[in-house]
Amino acid sequence: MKLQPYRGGGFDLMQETISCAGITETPLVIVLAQRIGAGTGVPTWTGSSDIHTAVKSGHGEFPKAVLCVSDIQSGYILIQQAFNIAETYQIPVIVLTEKQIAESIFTVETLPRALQIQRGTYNGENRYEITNTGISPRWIPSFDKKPYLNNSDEHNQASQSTENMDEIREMSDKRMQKQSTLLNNLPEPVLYGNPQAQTVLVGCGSTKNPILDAISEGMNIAYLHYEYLFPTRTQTLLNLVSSGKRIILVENNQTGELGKILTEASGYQFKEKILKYNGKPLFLEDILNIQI
Amino acid sequence: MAIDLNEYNSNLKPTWCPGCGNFLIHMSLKKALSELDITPSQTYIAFDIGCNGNGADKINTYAFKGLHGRAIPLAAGLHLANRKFTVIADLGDGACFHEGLDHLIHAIRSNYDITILIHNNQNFALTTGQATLTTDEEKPMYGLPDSKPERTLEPSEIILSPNPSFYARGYSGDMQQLTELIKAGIQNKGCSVIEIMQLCPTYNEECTPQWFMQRIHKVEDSANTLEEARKIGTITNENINTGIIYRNTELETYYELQENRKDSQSELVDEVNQYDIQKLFDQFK
Ligand SMILES: Cc1ncc(C[n+]2csc(CCOP(=O)(O)OP(=O)(O)O)c2C)c(N)n1
Ligand code: SF4
Ligand SMILES: [Mg+2]
Repeated sequence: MKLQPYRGGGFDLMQETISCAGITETPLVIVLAQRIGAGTGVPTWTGSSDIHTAVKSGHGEFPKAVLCVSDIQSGYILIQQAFNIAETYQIPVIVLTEKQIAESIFTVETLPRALQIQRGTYNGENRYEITNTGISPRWIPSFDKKPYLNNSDEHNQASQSTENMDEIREMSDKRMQKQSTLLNNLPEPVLYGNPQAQTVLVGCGSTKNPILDAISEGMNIAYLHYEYLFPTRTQTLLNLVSSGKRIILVENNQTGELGKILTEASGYQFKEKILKYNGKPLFLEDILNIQI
Repeated sequence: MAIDLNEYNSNLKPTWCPGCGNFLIHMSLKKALSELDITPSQTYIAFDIGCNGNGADKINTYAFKGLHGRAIPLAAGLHLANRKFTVIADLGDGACFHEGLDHLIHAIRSNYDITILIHNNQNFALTTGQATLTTDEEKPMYGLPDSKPERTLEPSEIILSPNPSFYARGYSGDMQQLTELIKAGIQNKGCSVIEIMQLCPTYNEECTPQWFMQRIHKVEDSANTLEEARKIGTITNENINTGIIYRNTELETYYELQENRKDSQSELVDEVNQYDIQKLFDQFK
């Protein structure tokens, strides 16, 4: 288990690790601090254009989780959740933050008590045992325990490399089952503001801050905020859509990356988008200027 | 009392070609562990990807078979998490001197207390015999029928330039010597690099056991200076020296240089705990 902070360039360089952690079922937490742009981009201005790359990172198919920080409280909670999820499900977890969040000054009265650490370890016979949840026994190596191989070759339950067709399919299914188990245990996104309002903004990350400011200035909107981005819960979003609300995607990037992830998971196509990608964060005026 | 060698075996049979040097390298490693009384549960091997790495599920110890070129960083991490384990990085010449060359340099200069076994069969064997930097310059290889355009480099030059605490060269055909070298490498405090001249009858068919026997000379005493070590380490058409080539016992290990870990009795892996950070918050009040 490891915590590794990156910016986009470093993240690209190290993506092999995510894939390797995926198949070996090694808990891994990565903090990806986003700034704007491809390549070297605009050092050092803000943006949120690595959401898609985080969700789609690593070759091959394997479960992972992506969480998205928006301020000091969410950073404090989500980094703890990230470790608990990584260890419980034995998957890579990417925590997205942004230059705007990392370099902002927030004031808080207090922070909640620390979460209970969940290491999810238990002894077993086979390291990659097939279970209903997809979660296999994993024990911290120690002298008095049975040794095992963490294998990035496709493997059977005993971690032996395999080219057997049935074993390949069964182990792939076992791993992916963890994503379904995790999704069942993740919360729906939070709806802020006036739930009766006709206009609902949808976003993640630092966009929450100016939107909540606009709401406290009296703007009559609701705001659906994603912290647990992937695997993706969509019931609240789909309820809002089917009740005829006007839905506006608000993002600090060019192509609506959160929107693409939500569309893939829900089938809903966003009709209205406010996208800002000039290196500056979304400001209060950007939100107040929305015609509602 | 040496541990029964069968304890280090899984129930799988190796898949290497007949005559492959990997058989005896693995046997030497197991013998070394056994003679040092290091049990399978006290050993952590980081395997690379290649013919060498195909032995990962044939040995019964804690192990991590990761990615091509990445055995050394895995070994470094395993060691830093828990110094009590005997940590071995097991990789090929392709992995070590191409994809993962930076890791070799940094492991030596950081002087992690690990042992690096380089299976030098002078080619990328698993991918059917492409040229590595150790392949002979004139030798036609897969995809390079007119031989490689690049120069050949000496592993000893690369290994010696960051000043290792231990550098030895063994030969897969001499299990007795190789076992002793691996034992000495494991016992050395610091980063021990063991380059193993490995028979690969499939893609390096010229270098037969006879070819090696004509060239190999065992050195008795290791060099005390890098200059001397370079002389002993250099491979010529007529001569390949094996044995412990260089030792530097003056070097402190990475862990010894960590000021904040100086008095710690526990291992990092045991320190995952619920810490009260309220005092830290109070500073901001
Ligand atoms: C990142 C990456 N690049 C390339 C490969 C393909 N590959 C697998 S084994 C191998 C060669 C291994 O050569 P070497 O390290 O010398 O080991 P040997 O097979 O000779 O024992 C290569 C290039 C890979 N698996 N991963
Ligand atoms: S190709 Fe060479 S290194 Fe690979 S198993 Fe065969 S003999 Fe051994
Ligand atoms: Mg090789």
